[in-house]
Amino acid sequence: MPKLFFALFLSLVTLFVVACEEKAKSSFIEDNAHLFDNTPVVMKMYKEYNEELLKDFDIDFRVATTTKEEDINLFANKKFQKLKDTSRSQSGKDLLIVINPKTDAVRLEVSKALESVYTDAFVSYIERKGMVPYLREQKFADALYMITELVRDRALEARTGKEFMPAMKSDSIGAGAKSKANIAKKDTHAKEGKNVISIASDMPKDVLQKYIKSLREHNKNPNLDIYTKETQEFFRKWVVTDINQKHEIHNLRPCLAKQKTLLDSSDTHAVLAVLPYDENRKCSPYFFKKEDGAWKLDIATMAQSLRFSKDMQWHFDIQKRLDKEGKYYAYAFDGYGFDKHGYPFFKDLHKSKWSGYRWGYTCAEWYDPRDADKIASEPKKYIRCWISNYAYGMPANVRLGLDVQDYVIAVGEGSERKENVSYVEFMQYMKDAPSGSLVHVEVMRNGKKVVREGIAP
Amino acid sequence: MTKGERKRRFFGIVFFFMISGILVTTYNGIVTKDEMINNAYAQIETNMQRELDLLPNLIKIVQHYAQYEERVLKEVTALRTDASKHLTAQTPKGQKEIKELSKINKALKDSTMQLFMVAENYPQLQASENFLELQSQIEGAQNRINVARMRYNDAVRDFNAYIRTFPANMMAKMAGYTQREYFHAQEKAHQSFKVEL
Repeated sequence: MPKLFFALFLSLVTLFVVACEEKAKSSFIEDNAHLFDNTPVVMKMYKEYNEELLKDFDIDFRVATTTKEEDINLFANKKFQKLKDTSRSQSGKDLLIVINPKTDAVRLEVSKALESVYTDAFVSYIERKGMVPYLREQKFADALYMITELVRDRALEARTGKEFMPAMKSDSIGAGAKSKANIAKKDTHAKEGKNVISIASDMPKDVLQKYIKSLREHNKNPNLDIYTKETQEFFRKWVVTDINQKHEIHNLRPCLAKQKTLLDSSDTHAVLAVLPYDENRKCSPYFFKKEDGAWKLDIATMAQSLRFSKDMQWHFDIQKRLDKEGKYYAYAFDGYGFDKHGYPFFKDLHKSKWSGYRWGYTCAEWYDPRDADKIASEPKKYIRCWISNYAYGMPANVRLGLDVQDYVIAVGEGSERKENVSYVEFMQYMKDAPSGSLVHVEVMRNGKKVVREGIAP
Repeated sequence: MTKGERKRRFFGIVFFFMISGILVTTYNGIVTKDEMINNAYAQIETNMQRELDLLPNLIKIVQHYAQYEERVLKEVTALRTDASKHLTAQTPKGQKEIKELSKINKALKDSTMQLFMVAENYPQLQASENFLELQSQIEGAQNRINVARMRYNDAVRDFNAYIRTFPANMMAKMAGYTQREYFHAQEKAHQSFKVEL
């Protein structure tokens, strides 16, 4: 008899655990209107963010899209009541965003437990200012990502101010707000704004101040003279919201007094940086390039190579850090290594074995098997280099992006290109590269040819 | 006492407790469902009061842009005073109270809808953050009223069905509980005012 009871108890416990796991796995996106089908990259980022919202704040943020010709308020409340039994939140903190492209409406339904944090006015504000600009451009996944970010920011404030209510059962009594979505209705005035000029005597800090003023005035003109040409092209396609601009000012303000101007040797590129980088992770570097004799803000390159964590700590996209114009700003990070996520960390090289080195790398020998019979007679010609080691913080990695097990196969470009470079030829090339010149090295990395370019120290 | 008598007494006691249990459970069920109706009614009143309290601010903002006549504000104030008398948070007795509440709700809705319609003629007003904030709060209150009304009607349906079934029907009659009124949408407002430019 006791064995029977024990077996029964075990079965019940197992069933309970399985049921809980099933509840946790239930999808939080119901995309009946197929708005997110073609944006897998952004949706992946959104899903990660959504899981973090649940993990950090116990907020279950659900999404539903529909094309029913029904009042969105009614639909949202009914949908909420259906979903609350499978809520992933343990304390009744539930949100449901509904987008209806048919009725051109969007609504965020808020549970009782979150009413004091996400008031109707606040929800209306983030819908209008945060989501609708993206919906106008039919960037549905971006709209979702943006509003999740705003929800998270508010949750962080609420936790700091202890605004969250005690745990309760999941329920909604109609709190939230709806807004006209204006899907595919471009705002012809969205990118208007008077021009802001950068003059020859402006230093990068002056240009940044002009930029901050334009942010404050919500000037979304993409063709401002203070931007590089690439940046103007970038902003013509990028959606900028009032909230984005407010946030940038908010994040910049504490960093302004600590910024230092780091100029490159050719006086064509500058970085406004708060040093040391690893102790000021919330102060993003700002990039500037000289065009037409004046300093211009290079936000296009910043957008390409910089990323921000959920705590607004900046780091590099390791794959894109040195792409295009990025390599011209690498000098500002000499002395810093990068972890696998792109976060910089300071390396004191003064007392290390690498002090006195120019590039900071070592070569090991390799040869092409087809040259095996020639090695003995002409080793200098056929022995080649593979990168066996590099020093964090030194130019080989920081400026050129060389990595261990890169097999060097060519150097130079155009008429100066040399294929099948030997060990000696490669070392000579690196040694002879004039300071400030652009160095080209082609390597075999994981079976693929990769070109590395960087400014010689 | 013989064995048979003891047996009869035992079953008699069991039967008594069974019947008592059923009666108590039934009575408690009636009371609980009645309280759910009262709670839902209170939610309707609370949110109507919330909407009433927001109205004067909305009028002031609209007036600032549209330069209304003073009488509009007076009419809204009168609507508020009249409505506040009925929003006493007392339990609804019957059809009369429900109808009054329904009329007030309609009047409120009509008033705010007219104000929002007028605002559409003033782009500056529509772009004003103060106006948009108030608009969202009022629409929020209206939505809460709608949800509370639906829940009220659900609670009434549940209660009415319960007291029509046996043995609750008998208990309800004994305790003086009768069927409750549903909250119906009103066709005409009890009192509405026209907003003139």
